[in-house]
Amino acid sequence: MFDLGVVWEYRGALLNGLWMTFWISGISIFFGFIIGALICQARRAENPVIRGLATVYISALRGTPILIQLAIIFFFLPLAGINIPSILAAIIALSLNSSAFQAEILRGGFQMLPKGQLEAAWDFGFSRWQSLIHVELPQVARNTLPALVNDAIDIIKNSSLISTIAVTELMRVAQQYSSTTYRPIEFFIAAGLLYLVLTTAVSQAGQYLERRLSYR
Amino acid sequence: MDLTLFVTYGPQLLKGVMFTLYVCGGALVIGLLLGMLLCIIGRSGNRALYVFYRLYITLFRGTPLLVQIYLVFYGGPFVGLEFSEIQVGIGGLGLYTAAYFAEIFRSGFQSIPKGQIEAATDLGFSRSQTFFHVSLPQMFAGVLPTLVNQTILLVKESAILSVITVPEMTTAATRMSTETFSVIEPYLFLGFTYWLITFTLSRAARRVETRLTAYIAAR
Amino acid sequence: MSNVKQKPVIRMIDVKKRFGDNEVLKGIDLDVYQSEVVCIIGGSGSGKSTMLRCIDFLETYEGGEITVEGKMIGYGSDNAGNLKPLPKHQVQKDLRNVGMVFQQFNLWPHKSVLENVMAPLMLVAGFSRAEAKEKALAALTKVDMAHKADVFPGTLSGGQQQRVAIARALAKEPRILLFDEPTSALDPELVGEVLKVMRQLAEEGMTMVIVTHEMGFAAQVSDKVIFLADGRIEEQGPPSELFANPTSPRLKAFLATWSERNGTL
Ligand SMILES: Nc1ncnc2c1ncn2[C@@H]1O[C@H](COP(=O)(O)OP(=O)(O)OP(=O)(O)O)[C@@H](O)[C@H]1O
Ligand SMILES: [Mg+2]
Repeated sequence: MFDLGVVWEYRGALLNGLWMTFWISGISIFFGFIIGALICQARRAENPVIRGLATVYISALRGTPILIQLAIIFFFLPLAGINIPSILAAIIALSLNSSAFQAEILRGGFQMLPKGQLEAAWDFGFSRWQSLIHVELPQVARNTLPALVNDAIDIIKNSSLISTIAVTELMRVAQQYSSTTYRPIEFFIAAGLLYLVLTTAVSQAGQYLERRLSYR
Repeated sequence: MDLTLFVTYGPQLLKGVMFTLYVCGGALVIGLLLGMLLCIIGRSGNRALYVFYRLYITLFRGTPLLVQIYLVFYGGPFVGLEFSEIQVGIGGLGLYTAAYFAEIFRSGFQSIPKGQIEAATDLGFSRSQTFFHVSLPQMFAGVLPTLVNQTILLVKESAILSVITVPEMTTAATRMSTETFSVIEPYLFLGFTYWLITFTLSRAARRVETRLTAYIAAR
Repeated sequence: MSNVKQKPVIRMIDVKKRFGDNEVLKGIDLDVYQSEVVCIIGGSGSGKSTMLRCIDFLETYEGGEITVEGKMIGYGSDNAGNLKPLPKHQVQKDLRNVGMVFQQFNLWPHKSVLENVMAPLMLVAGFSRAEAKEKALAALTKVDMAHKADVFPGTLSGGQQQRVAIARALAKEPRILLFDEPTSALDPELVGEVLKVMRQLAEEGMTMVIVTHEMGFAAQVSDKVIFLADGRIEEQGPPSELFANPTSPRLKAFLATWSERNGTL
């Protein structure tokens, strides 16, 4: 009845799917961080309009399911005359979603910094930019690392949803072969295990980084 | 944008919203009960039970909900059980959420000052009295905001159930989309409705939090 | 050491500062001359920190004027002769010869001791890495902390951290150093090592303004003591006079309370 041998036959396809999951998630987490850092700055801006826009952006993306965001980007862009491959739509959706979460995490990190650190930077003549790059960001990155790693894991797991717009990542591969071979249990267990390997690796890497970056 | 669509599809969409709330409510109950059970198992001190606990947490938190839903969906028939989509939806979402709730409970219990338990024992409380009258209420007070946040995630995750055609609101809106060839109306409806539910919950969480901090500060 | 014929290096004229409805400085006048050591004492909330922070423009002030080495801090006149706020980088430039040492040290925890001292030298003064390192090590040697150059500040005792903070301030070769309760966050047994460094700086002729609760130190080292009460300078003078013959009742009360807790000066 239960036969993982079937899965073994298709290991190549599954591993390709895993690879696709891996790099799409990686790119999305990366862009999510860049956009998130910018949104975080906007959220902390003095200008109330900028701050308001950032608040709406964060609230909208954190308050709705990523599945809906994915569909909106996938279906709405063509309506606006923009035709993009589904992989790109997937990366855009995941990046934007992740950016909202990362922006909030980073904001918390900035709030935690003792004010005196910045006063010292001012006293030594640091520009705002220098103070951001050399004093704030390294500490914020270190302090928020565990939360950022959690978000990365969420993105990896959520990337399974891009199977719904026909990106052939791990989940899609598992769906395809489970219907052609009538072996859904085996394929979904295999997919689950592969996701587990990926998320566990990321969480271990995060813990390693945390230890390395500790300044105690 | 064609708002008359909402006149035609209003009742179906509303039904979908009710189903979303129903499914989430069911999953919430399962999540809370199973989560508490898991937490107790994990804290029992028995090594084998603890390994089981960690395994459960790792599996359910380390894999996508979609994979879990499919496994419940196909797993039922595989072992000879027939579930409806709704049952699969509530069950799958509940099993998944239980893993998160269990960890939240665990951290809640851990943050109760030890002296409180000792005081209860000194006063002659039995173990179960201590648990129900001292530990449990304290733990809940501490983790309530986190619980609400996890419930918000639960509501958002429930959209995934549309993949196995549980008749909740995403499914209803998707049907509206395919039947009318409209895209903007159903998806904006979805976005707005989910946002409204989660926003309301997060406001509630903030209220609870300020109340609780007042209570803790007052102590 | 003070020389009245010289121009003051720091001059505060009728400086006023409020936080909302709370008027914290109600018109402060102060001249600090080259190589003078001025100690500011006073009760909690009397405005000592605020006064010091205004000099370094960590707080803005809305009345009067503060000049450092002849330049007005924070504001400049436009063509019509009206005062307007200067851009931040201009203020920082005008304050380049002023260094500040904080109660909480404010070392950057993610940088090693050496990097803490080197960073301003490289980023702001524009020294090469090698030059910055040399200067940084010299400054650390001066406060006897060169042997800890490679550790993170978090691993040091409070007294050691404060000495590093002083080295960091010294490395930019300031002509004026401001101290806001530099020893208040320290365990009693660590206060001495920091005061020793400060005493040495005073002997070398550094101009210093020090907010402190260490009356013994103030009595020994300062040329002038300022007693602040309720946002005004209630009394000032050389420590020998001010501590021996206080005239204002508030200063008398303040010193009496202090002696009660700490013994006579
Ligand atoms: N950032 C601020 N916002 C509002 N009020 C402030 C701020 N900083 C200081 N104050 C108020 O200004 C007054 C003077 O404060 P300041 O810190 O200058 O006192 P201090 O003499 O240094 O006291 P301490 O000995 O406790 O350090 C206090 O009433 C304080 O509450
Ligand atoms: Mg102060």
